[in-house]
Amino acid sequence: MHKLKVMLVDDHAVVRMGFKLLLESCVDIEVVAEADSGEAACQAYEAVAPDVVVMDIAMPGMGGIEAIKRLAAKHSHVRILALSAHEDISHPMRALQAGAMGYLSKRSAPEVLMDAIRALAQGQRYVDAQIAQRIALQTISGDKSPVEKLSAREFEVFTQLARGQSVAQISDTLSLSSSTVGTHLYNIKQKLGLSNQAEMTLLALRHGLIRVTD
Amino acid sequence: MSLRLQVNLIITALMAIFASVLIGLQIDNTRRSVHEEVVGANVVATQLLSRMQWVYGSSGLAGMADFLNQVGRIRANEVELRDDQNKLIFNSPPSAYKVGRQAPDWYTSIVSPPLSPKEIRLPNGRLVLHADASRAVLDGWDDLRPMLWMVLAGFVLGNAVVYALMGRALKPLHHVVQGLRDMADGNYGIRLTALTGREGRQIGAAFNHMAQSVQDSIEAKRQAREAALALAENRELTQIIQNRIELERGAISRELHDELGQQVTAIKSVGLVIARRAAGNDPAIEQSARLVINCADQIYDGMHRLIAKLRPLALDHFGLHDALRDLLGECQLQHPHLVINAHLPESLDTLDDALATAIFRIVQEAVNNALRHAQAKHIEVRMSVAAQSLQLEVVDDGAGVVLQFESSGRYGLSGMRERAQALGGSFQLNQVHPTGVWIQVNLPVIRKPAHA
Repeated sequence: MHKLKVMLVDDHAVVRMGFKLLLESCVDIEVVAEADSGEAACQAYEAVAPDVVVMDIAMPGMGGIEAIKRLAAKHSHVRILALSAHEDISHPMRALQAGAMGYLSKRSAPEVLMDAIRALAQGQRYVDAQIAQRIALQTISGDKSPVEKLSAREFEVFTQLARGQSVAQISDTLSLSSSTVGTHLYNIKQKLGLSNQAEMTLLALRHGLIRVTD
Repeated sequence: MSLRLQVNLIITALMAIFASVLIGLQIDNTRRSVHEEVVGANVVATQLLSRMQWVYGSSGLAGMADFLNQVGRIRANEVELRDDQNKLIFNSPPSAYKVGRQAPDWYTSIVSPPLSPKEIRLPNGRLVLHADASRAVLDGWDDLRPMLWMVLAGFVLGNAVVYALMGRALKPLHHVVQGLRDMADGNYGIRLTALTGREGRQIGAAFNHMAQSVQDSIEAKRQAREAALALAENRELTQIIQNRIELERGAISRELHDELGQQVTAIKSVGLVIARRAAGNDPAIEQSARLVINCADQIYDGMHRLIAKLRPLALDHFGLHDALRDLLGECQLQHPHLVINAHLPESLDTLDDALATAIFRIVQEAVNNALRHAQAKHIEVRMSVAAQSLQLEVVDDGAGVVLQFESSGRYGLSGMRERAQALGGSFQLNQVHPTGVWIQVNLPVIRKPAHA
């Protein structure tokens, strides 16, 4: 049976040890590498080729957010689950904007870590329920709801994209050609002023259009 | 030209005019009387001598000469007797009146009447009569001379008296001038005392009043300057203390998060592993492990409440925009029915740390007041940043009463104001009608120093 390869990145050895013990109790997950800094994670990534990177965002040196940005820029299919002990929304939002596919607070991490890793491995997004609720509630930026700016079909494509679906998956689901979905994607980005799929997820979360935790 | 000299000159000129008129009248008078006297005498003498030639004509020139000798001087006339060859036979003797004295020529020329010599023809000679006004003129001159002396004395005396009086009258002015000079040199304590005369006393009082005003105003300015300096120092101190407190809070916050938080996460993870392994095998161990997990959760929650109270780490990691978003997001979470509208420009992230902290704390306090003391249902936070200044507004629709806020000294109002003023800004609290409080803060923009 193929096991999910996970790389743990955290500057606290005791945290890595705890997570490793947790993950090794699951039959389908194995910790293939550990790193104690963002720099070390970037160096080791290619050789290790993990399915999921579990990354603490508060680390000395370049820090987790910068490491996420670099990995996402270099490896388009990298799946990073960001973690932090911050109970606010800026840290998760920054991590997701940087290119992380999932986010957990360390409070909930031990219970849901395995679920999150499995979801990411399948190409889905995963955001801590409490964090998702906070992001959905905050109405700070004052931007209009995407519903008002997009056509019905565009909105449909938008919610799929925000859930982490690929263009190919969407064209299957909606019975559209992939070039049509690509056109919709382009228009959505233009209308909402977004540059990547992570930002769509955040926007959708903020307006309560999707729930990622189910 | 000094005032004293001017007055003296005016007095002198007036006296000169007056004296000239007086002397002119006197001279004219003398001229008339001399004219009358001399002309009269001349006519009498001429008539007399014309008659006499009838009497003495027969006895020839010698007889005539004898006669004239006996007559002697005929009042103010010079009489000459000449023969045909123009030889002087007789000349009347000089006057015995005021012998040897003459009036000055200029006076004589003014006063003497213009009379030509009169000739009386004799059979072989002639009599020539010259009117001689010199004695009459001398009389006039003798009358005039004391008057001239008197005028001269009057001039000298008058000027001396006027000079002295003016000196007395102008004495207060000298004091005033001296006083003004002293003031100009910076001696504002100078006062004028004992100026004489009504005007003098008035001037003195006015001068003293002015000097007092100047002194008071300078003193007031000095005090204001000192007060401003003290206030600036006070604000600087406040700023330093606030900065230190924030630094300490940040350090504690980080320490809690970075160390305690991680250990608790590890404890919880290991506890969970133990609980799962023991599940089904050993209920006592599983239960103990669950207890450890619960404890870890409580420590974690307690720690985060502390961190939130101390200092939001997002402020240091991501800047003011994110920190405010977190703050308002947390409020929203705690008060689901509250409506929060916020307009926060992204450019907030380059603001200086102290400035960002001050704004964060002001918003925190304002929102706290609106929720805790005024039960607001709607809060609006607006920020706008220009090149030089930024404006922050927090408006709520709660039951807060500005006057009550101001007078109670509670609600962290002085803290908010202090923070704004320490950074050179202003803080204003306005009442919104029908209900609500509107906080306006203006602050000069300070940017973070560029990264080296």
